Amino acid sequence: MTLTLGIRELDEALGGIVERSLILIHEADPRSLGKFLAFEIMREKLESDNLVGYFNIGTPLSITLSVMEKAGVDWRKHLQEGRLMIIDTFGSIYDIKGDLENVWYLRKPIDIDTLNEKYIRVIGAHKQKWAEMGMFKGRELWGITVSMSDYLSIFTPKATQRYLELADLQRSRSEIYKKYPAGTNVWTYTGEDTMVLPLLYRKADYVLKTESRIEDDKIKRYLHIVKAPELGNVTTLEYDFKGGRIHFQ
Amino acid sequence: MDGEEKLMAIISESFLKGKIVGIVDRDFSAFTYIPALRSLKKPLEEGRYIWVVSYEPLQSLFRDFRRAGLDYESHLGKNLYVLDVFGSMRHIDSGVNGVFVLSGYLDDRVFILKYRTLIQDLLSELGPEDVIVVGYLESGMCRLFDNPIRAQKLLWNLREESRVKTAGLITYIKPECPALEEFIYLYSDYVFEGVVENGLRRVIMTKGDEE
Repeated sequence: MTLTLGIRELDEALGGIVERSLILIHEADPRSLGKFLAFEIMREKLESDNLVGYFNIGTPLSITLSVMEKAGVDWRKHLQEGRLMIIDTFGSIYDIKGDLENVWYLRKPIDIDTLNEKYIRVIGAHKQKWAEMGMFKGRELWGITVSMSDYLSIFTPKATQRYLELADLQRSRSEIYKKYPAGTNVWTYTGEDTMVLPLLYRKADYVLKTESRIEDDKIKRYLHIVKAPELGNVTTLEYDFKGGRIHFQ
Repeated sequence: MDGEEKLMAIISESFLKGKIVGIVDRDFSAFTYIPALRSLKKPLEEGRYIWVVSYEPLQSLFRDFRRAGLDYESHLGKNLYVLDVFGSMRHIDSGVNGVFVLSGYLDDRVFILKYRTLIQDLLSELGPEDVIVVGYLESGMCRLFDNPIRAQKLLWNLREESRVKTAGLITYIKPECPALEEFIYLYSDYVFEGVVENGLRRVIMTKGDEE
């Protein structure tokens, strides 16, 4: 089945997204604000009544929520109405916990080798909840992770590499991915490196790389479609950032 | 309007609206943070509360206050307060009125815990309507903390926790601590970059509605 991202210019350039694929948004430099593309997809999916699991990795959740709000994501409404669930990894590791409904924490102790099992358990529990509430019917399921590169500073590049190498296998063996629907995923990754980023470029079905440049004292932002199922030449789109949102030209 | 005028206009507006402005100097000869500090003159004279979190030696901050034309001595301890992070981590207490130094054992986590207590005490004592928070050269975090990325996020998370209306000014020199740029771009409502190119000093708006 083919899905859309809900962003017209990008959907036209991609010709739709294959369901259950992995979309990597590679924010090559932070100034390109590629993360806001993930928030844009999230906002579109929630507004059109789909299900979103948000993985909060390296930022205190209250800061993430304040940024989401500026990006037009009505997280309060979507959490309350059960469309949105959040796994707060940062809060779980550093013991900053709130009492928002549909926000999950991982059980301690958390290290990179047991992290994936803990995710699987929480995802399983929430999918069961969605199934019991009959929420899956007629809805798409999306996973949004901001940001995979945060693992590098929480753990180490080497540990992150190991995590990625093993996570796939663990997930493929897990019952919850057979019992309940699996989602289409969007991961963001900031910066350049040759240790973890190449693994993600290989793993992803789509790679959207964002970068910025200063030209004539003006900021210019570009998105390059580096990888898609039908590998063609790299397509580049230009976008700008206004009112907390990304707009393609 | 040139870049610096725009910067000053946006900072003044942000101080009123409770927004965050990030100043990213792309090299250490840009010095965009000095005109940015000048924007504190008006709120200081109006008696608004200003909380400066300094990651450089205290005398460096005071020198830059003087360069920015701020009469800081007559406001310290009244409506201007400084958390001397450098002095705290290095155990140097200047003994200057209005400058706080956290004492005793400190590592990244303990620093945040002690800082949180200090803010809570100070907020309940002063009961300000709003506060302007200034991060003075956050790039200094790379020299002071084991995990500067986490420390920076936890420090700004205290703003979210405090529930007091705050405006923020973050100053930062990228080459001294590149890893912190990501959060500045994520969290700030406006970002300006300072560069010197072919002898020209320029300020460019790189995040915000009028970029």
